[in-house]
Amino acid sequence: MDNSPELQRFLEQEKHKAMISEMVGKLTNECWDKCITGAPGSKFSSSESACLTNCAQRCIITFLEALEVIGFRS
Amino acid sequence: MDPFSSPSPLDSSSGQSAASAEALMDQLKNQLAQAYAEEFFETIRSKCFAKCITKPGTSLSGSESSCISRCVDRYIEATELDGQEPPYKTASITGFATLTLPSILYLIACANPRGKL
Repeated sequence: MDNSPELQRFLEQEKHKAMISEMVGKLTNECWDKCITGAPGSKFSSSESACLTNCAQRCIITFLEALEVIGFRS
Repeated sequence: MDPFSSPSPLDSSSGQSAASAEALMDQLKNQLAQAYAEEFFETIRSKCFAKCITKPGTSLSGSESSCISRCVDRYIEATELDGQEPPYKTASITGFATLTLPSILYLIACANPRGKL
């Protein structure tokens, strides 16, 4: 059981998911600080949501593309 | 065990291996999910404390409460915008956010003029 290929594959997948999870967490963390300057409202203002979307799109897609180039595919 | 024979109902060793591998995988998944949820929650707590508690008093005011509630909802929304499934999606986290022990200790420490617990 210890070194079954299924378990290895599972661990690789979970490691990959954890990496993505951590990266998105950091991204949300930093984009929040950059984009939500005042007190939070009952919904995002249009400038806040545009900022969050731009921040996310520029950073996350670039990072995922970089991962694919390196050869780390999901 | 003869590798060429099919497992009989009485031969449970391969069944046990598969079952315990599955149990291990489930356990790992649960631990990872738990760790992610804890980190996520601590991030929200930290952000919303910074945004909403500007001048800590001896208890949480109504405006501070509603600010925390909005802040938690917005942060969860921001996480979804980034394409991630947040571990908590229900509004019950807003009460949770104000009442966890680290938050309470932090609030008490800020409210105490000597800065000690």
